[in-house]
Amino acid sequence: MQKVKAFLGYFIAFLGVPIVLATFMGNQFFSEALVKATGLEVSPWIIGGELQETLPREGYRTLIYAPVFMGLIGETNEGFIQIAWSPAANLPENISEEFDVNKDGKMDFKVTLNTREKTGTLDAYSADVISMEGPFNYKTKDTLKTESLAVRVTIKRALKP
Amino acid sequence: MTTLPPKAQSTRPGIAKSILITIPMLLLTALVIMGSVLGGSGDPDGLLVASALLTWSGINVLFFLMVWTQKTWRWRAILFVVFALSMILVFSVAITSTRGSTTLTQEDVYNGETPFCHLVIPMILLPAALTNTIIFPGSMLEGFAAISFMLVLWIGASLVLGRAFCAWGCFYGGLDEGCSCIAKKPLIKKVDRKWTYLPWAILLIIVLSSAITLSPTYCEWLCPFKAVTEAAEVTSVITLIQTIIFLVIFAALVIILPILTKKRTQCSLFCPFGAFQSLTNKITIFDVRIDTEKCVGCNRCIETCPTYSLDENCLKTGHTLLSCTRCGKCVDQCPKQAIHFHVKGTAPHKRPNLARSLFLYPAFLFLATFGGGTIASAIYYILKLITTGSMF
Repeated sequence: MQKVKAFLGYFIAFLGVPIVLATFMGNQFFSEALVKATGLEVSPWIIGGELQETLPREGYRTLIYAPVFMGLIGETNEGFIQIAWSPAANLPENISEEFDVNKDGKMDFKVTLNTREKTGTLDAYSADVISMEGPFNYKTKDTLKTESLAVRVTIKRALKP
Repeated sequence: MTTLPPKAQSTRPGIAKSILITIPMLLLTALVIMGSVLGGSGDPDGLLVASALLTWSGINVLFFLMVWTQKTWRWRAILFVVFALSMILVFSVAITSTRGSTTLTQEDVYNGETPFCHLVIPMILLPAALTNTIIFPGSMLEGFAAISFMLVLWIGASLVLGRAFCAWGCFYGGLDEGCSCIAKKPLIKKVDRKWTYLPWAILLIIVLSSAITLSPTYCEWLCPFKAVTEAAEVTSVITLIQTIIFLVIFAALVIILPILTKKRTQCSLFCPFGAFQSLTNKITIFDVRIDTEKCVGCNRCIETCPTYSLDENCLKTGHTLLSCTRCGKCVDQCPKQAIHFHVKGTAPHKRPNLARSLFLYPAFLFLATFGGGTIASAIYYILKLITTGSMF
């Protein structure tokens, strides 16, 4: 038994160099395999939820992302909805748009932007709309990685569609 | 005054044998360092080739010395410290050239443009398991230090090295190791052993707080290395407090205390990743053993261990503590050659040179590959600065 254990020990120890080589030389392959196998992605709290709706405008698009309420278990009471205007280079100086988050036919808030000065205001029509962060420069997460201007509006879960 | 026992006879190999043992490392490092440094560029410029060659030769000289002198710690420490210093330079240049500055803005966070580092790993595991998302503002596959790239590296390192990653792979460890080598003798000799439980307490706190808030709390509030990599742009009282915390912890644990104690204080008394990585010592096939029959109890190993991984009880049981990073200092310092690298499952102390070689090859190769590319890039930037007046 001692000899078997020793043989196994040395055998595994000999595998050290191939494992290290594979770790570095096969890193791209293993990284892609890891992401594919686990489906891991960066938290929507950080990168802003999945793109849900694209509204074409004259020379630009309004991108509405899925509201984020993800908690460790279940959902949080407060979350945010991210809205982006893309491409940033084509935006008019002033933008003013109203949004109906829960699709109940009533607008929940209005965002007014000055794209040159990168300033914005939020008009809340509902007590479930809390505040706004932004506008900030945002690269869309599609393959084009288009430069856009985005805001995050903090909302209560009651507004979730 | 303690009288040290006479030194045991060492079995130092001859130059020819040492060169023979070094040849496979020369070839392996040529493959990985030249491949990583020169592989991406179709027509590499002379400076890049010179940097890669300089790095490759320097690294192999250190490995040869490790084999020839039969000493591990000193030569490893040189490479490890150079790696850490190079990392700061390369990181700063890479971040500045892509983002314009090393400060981290909220826009960089929302755009997922933060390089991922291994210190975050303990915090992301629980949220990843429960929500299938990574609570770090990086990119999964793209850019400098992508999340999956570092995760694969960490898995490979943990399988082979266990916590030896902290002495052979961590690009921060060289900073406090470097500072711990500055003084000739420690000014603070006794540190209460209870402090070695602090990293476990911090680990527990950051794992729970990160899971609850779904954000990497250690990076936001405690990481000392923010002081030399990228800290959040100071835009509020909170970011100002965070920056002060980073600077104070860095100065205290990475510079002042290592100089005073000659220990890696950040790694052994604070780092939650280090505590977490100790658990992987249970997976790896390598460990360090003490020959209780040869040991004369001079306590030199306990005094010199940089990570408080040896105590009196270890000298009786023949095993190091779970936190051992296999840096090799105790092995080198033991006057009776009673401490050896060991392959689990084999008879302890029977073929110590074979066990040492089996450990040194993957460990050094990991450090040479991970550090080699970084050191070569740092040399390249320095040469570029000298020849053109700019690093960019």
